[in-house]
Amino acid sequence: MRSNRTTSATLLLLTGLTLAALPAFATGAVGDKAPDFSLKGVDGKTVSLADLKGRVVVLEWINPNCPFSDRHVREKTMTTLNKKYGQVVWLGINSTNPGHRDFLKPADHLAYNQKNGITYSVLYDETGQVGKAYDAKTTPHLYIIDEQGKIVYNGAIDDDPSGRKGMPERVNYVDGGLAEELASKPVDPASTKPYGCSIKY
Amino acid sequence: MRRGLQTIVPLTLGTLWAATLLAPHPVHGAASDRAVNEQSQVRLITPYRTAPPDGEVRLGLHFKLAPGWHVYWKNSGDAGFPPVVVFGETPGLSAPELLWPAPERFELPGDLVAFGYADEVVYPLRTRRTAGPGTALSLSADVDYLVCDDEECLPYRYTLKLDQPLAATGPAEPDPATEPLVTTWWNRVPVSAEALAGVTTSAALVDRGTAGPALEVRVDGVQSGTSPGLFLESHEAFDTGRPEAGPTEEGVVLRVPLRPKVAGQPLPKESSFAWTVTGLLHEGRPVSVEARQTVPLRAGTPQEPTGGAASSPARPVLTALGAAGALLLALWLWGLLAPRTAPETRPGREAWGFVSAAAVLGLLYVLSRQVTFEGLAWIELSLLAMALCAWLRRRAASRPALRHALGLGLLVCTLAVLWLAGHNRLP
Repeated sequence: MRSNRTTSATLLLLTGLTLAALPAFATGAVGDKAPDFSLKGVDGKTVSLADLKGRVVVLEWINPNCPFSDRHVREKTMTTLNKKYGQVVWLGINSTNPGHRDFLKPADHLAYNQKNGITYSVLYDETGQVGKAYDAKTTPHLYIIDEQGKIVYNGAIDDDPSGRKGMPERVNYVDGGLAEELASKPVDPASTKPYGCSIKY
Repeated sequence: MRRGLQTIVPLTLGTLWAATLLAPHPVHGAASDRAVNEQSQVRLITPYRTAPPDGEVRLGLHFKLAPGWHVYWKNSGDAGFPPVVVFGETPGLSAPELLWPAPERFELPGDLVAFGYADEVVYPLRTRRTAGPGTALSLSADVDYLVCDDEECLPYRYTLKLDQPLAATGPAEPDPATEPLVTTWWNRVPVSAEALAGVTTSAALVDRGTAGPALEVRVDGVQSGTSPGLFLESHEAFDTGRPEAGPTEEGVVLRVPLRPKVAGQPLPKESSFAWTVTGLLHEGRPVSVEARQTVPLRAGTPQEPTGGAASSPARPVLTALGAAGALLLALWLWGLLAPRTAPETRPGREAWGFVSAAAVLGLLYVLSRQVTFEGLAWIELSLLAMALCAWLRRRAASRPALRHALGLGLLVCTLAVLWLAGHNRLP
């Protein structure tokens, strides 16, 4: 009897140690499982990553009051890609703290989206928990998640922080990454340094 | 009253700043016009009254920043981007090289960091005469930069022009207004260890167990200044964490945590790291040291001659640990699951079980410092399978074939533990 109890305790201990080691994998790095989230959009609709299993997903950290994010909105960098890859789910995430002056209320955010032709869902992450789970740092900061829910790209939208180059001269990493992912090729580069404003957590 | 003060103080500071910006700035032969905005002003400067006819020509990109605003170092940190300068034709000069003075670290909301400069900075621009005497200095620079405070970031773009006549005869004469400024910031550009007598550097990857790897940089032959800082240039394979610094008998040691950008991939054998250590004293003078060093990332890779000792264990040590663990676990299971002995021997058995359990836990702790998270998880699963096999084997006393199969399972699991320990070592 004692032996069985000891064995059970050992099994529980080892299982616990194993499970304790597993969460350390979720850091937003390429190759990690994309942290799950369920967030309410500026249109009031809730989107859960778990519901998008089997689809390629792009996450774009956005802040309309950040000049970099706004420049790409005006240049239609993201909306053009969203249209080009219709089979991909494109989600904007705004992790701006509601107490920060950059925070836009839903009506204002919706108006901004409509004015700039943003037809994809933009979600509020007011606590910043999702942004921090992904280790998102800048606006814009982009992630590509594959059909199995694994992060395959983490980084900048392109190689032109200053916006000096013309569109054709820029290397758009997300465009290249999506083309490779949809062709079942490894995404290369899988990681770049994102640029822009710091996220206003 | 308090509210009135809260309004008046920022207004006064703002007015003073605006007055500084809007005051007439005489166009000096040693400086371009200033480009001015609410957060910053920028200009090109030279340290000379007249341009030097030959040799090295020193220039600078001079920023003055409003309180609370900063511009960036070559690695901007978690956000932002460093200034980009594109020069037009530079007749008689080689392409100017932008140098990066020792940066500061700025803590941003959300546990983010930025590396750069507040208040004022001159980015030195180094160039050389390529043509003979007779050419005036004529420089045009398109400057893109980002200026940020804790709350917002603003990008700016200006074209700056600087024209300076050639020195009539002899060497260039220093300009009393700009020469001290250029010299001060030129002296803040980090130097290599070879440029400092008695100074050596080394870099190595150190294993911090479950905390992951860290880059350890040692600078010997210096003293620690007020607060030494370690700044890494952007790396293709690693993100960096918060550095720690401490003095040693020989100098200073600094460690910065590294996190692979791509999880689950084997690390290359070695990788190059470009780093800068600031806040040092050499012969009583403040200095910053920089280096680009190739660092072994896996045990067994030959050390760089200048590298320090990596603390990753050698393969035999790990294998011995794994073997000892498997043996202990087998003894433990056997001790617990063997046919029951007489009641008077029970205390001894219990003590043995306790010691064995402590030994296994200790071993798991040691393993957690030697292997990756993923490796540890698989090892623990294998140990779990061993326990299951041993338990089932005891219950299958009347079925010899099943007992043999489970015995084989025990052996396979033991070998799996050894194999996993050897193939999932931390770098």
